Amino acid sequence: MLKFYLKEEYRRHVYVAKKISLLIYPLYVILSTLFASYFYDYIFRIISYHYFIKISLISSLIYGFGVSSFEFLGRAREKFTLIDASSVLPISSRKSYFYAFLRDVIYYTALFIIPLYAGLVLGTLISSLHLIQVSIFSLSLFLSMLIGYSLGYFSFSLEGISRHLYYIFLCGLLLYLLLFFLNVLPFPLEIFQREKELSWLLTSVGIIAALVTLAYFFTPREILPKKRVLSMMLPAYENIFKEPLLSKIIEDAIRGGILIKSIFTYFFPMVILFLFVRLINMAVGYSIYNSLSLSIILSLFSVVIYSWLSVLDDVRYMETLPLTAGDLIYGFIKAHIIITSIISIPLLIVFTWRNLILLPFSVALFYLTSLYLLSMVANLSGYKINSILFNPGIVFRFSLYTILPGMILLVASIQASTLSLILALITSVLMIIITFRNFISIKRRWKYF
Amino acid sequence: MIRVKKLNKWYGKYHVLKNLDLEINGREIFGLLGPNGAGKTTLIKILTGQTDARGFVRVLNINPIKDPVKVREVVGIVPEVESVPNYLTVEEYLYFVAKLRNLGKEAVNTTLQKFDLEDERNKICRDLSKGTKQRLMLASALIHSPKILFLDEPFINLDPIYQRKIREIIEVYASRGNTVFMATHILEIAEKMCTRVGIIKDGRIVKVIEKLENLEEEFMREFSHA
Repeated sequence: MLKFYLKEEYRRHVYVAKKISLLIYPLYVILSTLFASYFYDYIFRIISYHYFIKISLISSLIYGFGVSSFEFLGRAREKFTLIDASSVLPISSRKSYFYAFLRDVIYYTALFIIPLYAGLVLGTLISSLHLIQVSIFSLSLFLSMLIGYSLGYFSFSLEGISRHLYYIFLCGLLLYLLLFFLNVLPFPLEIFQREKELSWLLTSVGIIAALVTLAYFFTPREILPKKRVLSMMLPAYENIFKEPLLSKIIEDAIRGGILIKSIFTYFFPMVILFLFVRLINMAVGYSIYNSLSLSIILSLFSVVIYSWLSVLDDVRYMETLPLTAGDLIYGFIKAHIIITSIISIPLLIVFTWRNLILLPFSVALFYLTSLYLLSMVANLSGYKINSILFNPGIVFRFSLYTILPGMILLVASIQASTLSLILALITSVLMIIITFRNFISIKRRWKYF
Repeated sequence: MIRVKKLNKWYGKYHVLKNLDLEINGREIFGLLGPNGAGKTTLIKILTGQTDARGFVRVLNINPIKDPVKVREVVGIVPEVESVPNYLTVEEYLYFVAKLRNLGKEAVNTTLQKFDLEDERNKICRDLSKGTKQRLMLASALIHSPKILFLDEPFINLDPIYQRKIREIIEVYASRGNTVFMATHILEIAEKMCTRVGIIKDGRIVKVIEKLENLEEEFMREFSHA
């Protein structure tokens, strides 16, 4: 049975990216890791080994949790999938979701973790890294991602029982991660990585097994669709936002729980990042990262909101209306800006709290980078952002056009000098020009759904 | 109303429509009859500006390849797969469509009443039954009283009661001097409802039949050579 779920996932990706693109994706990961392992000495000069491990493991966990939540709470509700078909097949929803969990673990391990490990193993040939060292690191990373997946699966099963339980769980997880960053609570895999004690590895495996078992039994045998009756809200949104399409997207976002989800997928990682930056600054004794650099990183993360918006609704009915795919993309962009502004401005205020004079610059940089990234993502991937994730051609162009100027601005914001300022100004002007060009070409490029 | 000359459409290497010609001038229910994969949905998609193609196409004197939105402003479309919003209620969806078509709240209330959707107004569209979804799609396609209505397999998956209801709505609409362009692969429906039927085979209209008494025979003759 599992092989059909894997096949479905593979075909779904082949549908949005070319077959060859998907097959060379692991190669892309191998080369990137190889490149990083060559410069690992330099990386550890900037950031200590301890913090590197901490941030790698937690990033992996958040990635796993994000992918899993995205799958279980978002994409699994798509029509014409094996999960959707389980209601007419002799398989319980419980089993169907369990297979979906196994599918994700196998699929994304093959796509990311194995190539990453291969890249690190190859890296031992060109650097002073050791095979055992990279093996332990890869294993920890894999298990950390697996904990993330299990947490996503578990939280989905809780959400099925009660939304309140789900929110309580999210708050608990957030609190745990904050306390972990403040070195109050341990993370078993971090201790395993540091002390190489098998008991911590077994503890992690035990946590995964417990979460998966609970999730399996908490998922009902049959998930019956909930019939909902709601009052007419669209005119109220239209009074605020004036445009019918934008009002509809905002209503979708609220009813689809995006505001809540974005707290976890956007606000929460930002709080973690902020704490991490504070730790680095404290460790080195001066501020490497300031509020300007944080605002750039914040905008990089904000793309996740666009991704959520793009999967909320089954938009095929829009083909019958006087709208183009470009109109829908503009609608997503506007909604994205509204939602990220609500979440980001308070964060930017927190970032600049000790130096509020930098707030206007932080806000300007945030919007410049956000709009630039958004215009690039929307222009390259349209209203189906999934295509950007597994198409190396698009990923390469995205990396080139976004990470490069982002890095220039980031480095320039860290080093206060005339050269940095000139560099930042030139990059900003170029970004503004490209953003305009992208926004104009969206309408022409994305005519059909 | 509809003029198509030497229309070609490729999906990758598949040549789906091959030099297709078609002309519909009068106010009628025109049936496009053909087996699955003959190109019916593709032709409707081109005529309603949902995809591009090569050739001459005019719908109400609008070129849908050049002005896809303009053509969708003046026609009504009911797609083959019932697709409705995930988070809007029935009333909200009709309100959304009405606003996009510059209509007021009255149009929503009239449509809810006309299509017997008043009891469903506060239900989320996704939760509706197949028949009600189809009725909603038809309601949203007719909310602006278009001159032409495009229907792609409108009776598929519907029970006889809903089939009858939808058939009545279409017939009343056509009797008011409007044109219906309906793709179907069900001979019986084409025979009962249509004034003319075009048979589509391998991406070409191979025959337009005006006397529908012998439709089944004519249809079978076309496909018995295959």
